[in-house]
Amino acid sequence: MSRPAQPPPSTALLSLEQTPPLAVPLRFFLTAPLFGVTAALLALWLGPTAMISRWQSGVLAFTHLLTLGYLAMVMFGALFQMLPVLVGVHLRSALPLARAIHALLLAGTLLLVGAFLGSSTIAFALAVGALALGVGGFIAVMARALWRAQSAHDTVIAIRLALLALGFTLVLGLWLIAHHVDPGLGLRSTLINLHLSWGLLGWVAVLLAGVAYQVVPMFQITQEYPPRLRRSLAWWVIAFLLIWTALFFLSPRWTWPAGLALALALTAFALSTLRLQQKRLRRLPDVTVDFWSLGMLCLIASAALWLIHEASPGALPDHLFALYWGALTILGGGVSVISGMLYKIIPFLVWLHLNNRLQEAGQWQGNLPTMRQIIADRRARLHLRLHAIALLLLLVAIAWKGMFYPAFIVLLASFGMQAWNLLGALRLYRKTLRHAV
Amino acid sequence: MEHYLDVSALMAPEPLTRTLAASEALRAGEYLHMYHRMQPCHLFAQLDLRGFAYAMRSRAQGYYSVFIWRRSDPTAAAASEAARALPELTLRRAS
Repeated sequence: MSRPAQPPPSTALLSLEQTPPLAVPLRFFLTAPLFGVTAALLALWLGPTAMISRWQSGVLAFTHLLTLGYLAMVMFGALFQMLPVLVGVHLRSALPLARAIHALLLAGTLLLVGAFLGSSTIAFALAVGALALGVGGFIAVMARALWRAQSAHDTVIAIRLALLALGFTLVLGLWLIAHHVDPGLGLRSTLINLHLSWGLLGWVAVLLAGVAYQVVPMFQITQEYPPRLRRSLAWWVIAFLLIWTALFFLSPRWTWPAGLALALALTAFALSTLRLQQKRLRRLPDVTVDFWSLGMLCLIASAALWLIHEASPGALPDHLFALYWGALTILGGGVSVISGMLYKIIPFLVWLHLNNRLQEAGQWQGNLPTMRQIIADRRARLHLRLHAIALLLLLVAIAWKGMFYPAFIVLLASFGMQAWNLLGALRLYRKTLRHAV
Repeated sequence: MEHYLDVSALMAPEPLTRTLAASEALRAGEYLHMYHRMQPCHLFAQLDLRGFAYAMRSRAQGYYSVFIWRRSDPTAAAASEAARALPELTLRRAS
């Protein structure tokens, strides 16, 4: 039998020693939009009167479907993928660990949402167990890898600090669940604000900024972020959050300087990102760039809204401020940025694994699909349009309930489109392998 | 002899794949001068596996030059060292 000829070096085997199996990140990435769909369906089922105030169980359920089921789900998958590659540490038993953590996060989120809606003590107790094990287990796995690595890379430092923030968020969250069951524990509304601040600013924003230092130059063809910003942003955000937390208990009237500093730090990151995008080296239309631009503008808007509300509390009723700030930060900021990121990371991973699977099978003559072929640009752009329209309608619907159903129908379509697009990448991966191997 | 490769305006994974392809095509006495907008940290492990040596130099306006040669090629090593020592204005930049 003749030996197969050598593969062309342009598609040479890339060492995947540190890269986990494709199934590890993909299970998280493909689940997230389904939680988005669930959130939109829940809102449509509950109706406008159940979604007026952040204190209503429907709003709590909807929020956690997005923060846990969407944002955390994607970020867990991204860290399972990125951390071994960044720090050069092989995650032992990555697939079984990912399966377990994914299952616990999924179950914990659904149980928590069910508990909010049904006020069930058993569901709350089970949610506490699942989330404590799932999120706590995830932190432990990542912390162990980081400990072994001892890396001083800017992204790795941001990841460390974001995991610390996730730990605080988890502890506060578990305490709040316990309080939900037994209201006698006290301090509830204070701790809710701390929980969401540590969660959205400390965990989500710091981690996305750290990941941005890698993915924005890589995939949006920009230069690197300014070194000073890369080295200091995560530290500033965590420091200000700690100061803010201390002041919340010691002197609540004086929390505003720390809040102002947080708003400015995150605005600086958003402006830096927009500036890098504006000076991109190849100015071709790109859906990821557009998602990120939208995300950064929403981040700036949410910071501005907070500042206005602090300076002039009477300008906007508290319940409306909370809903606007939540919509801008979670849907406008977090979901936009993550959606854009997925349209590059998933095609990249599919390409990488296809390249190597085909090489190993001696099928290097086969044509690898390009990044743009793995997820069609026009479908990604349709998702972007639906997402932007949904966000706009939602902001209108907060003040005018007449827009409630159109907003959430478009939001449902947006998440549905995303789910379809991402599943398409998996279908292409399997089809290419079947034909080639 | 220097082979110059400007990957500064390419999206991942093209900088990585084109650099590896160009490295594999080097002949005796030749080195590769790769010009990029970011530090190509994913490249180095691949070069180590393939028996290449490399050195990176920071360039003006946040760019980087990476010089790559076969570990078994002292002529190329010497040539790339001489190139690395050139002043910034003399070194090649974006195409």
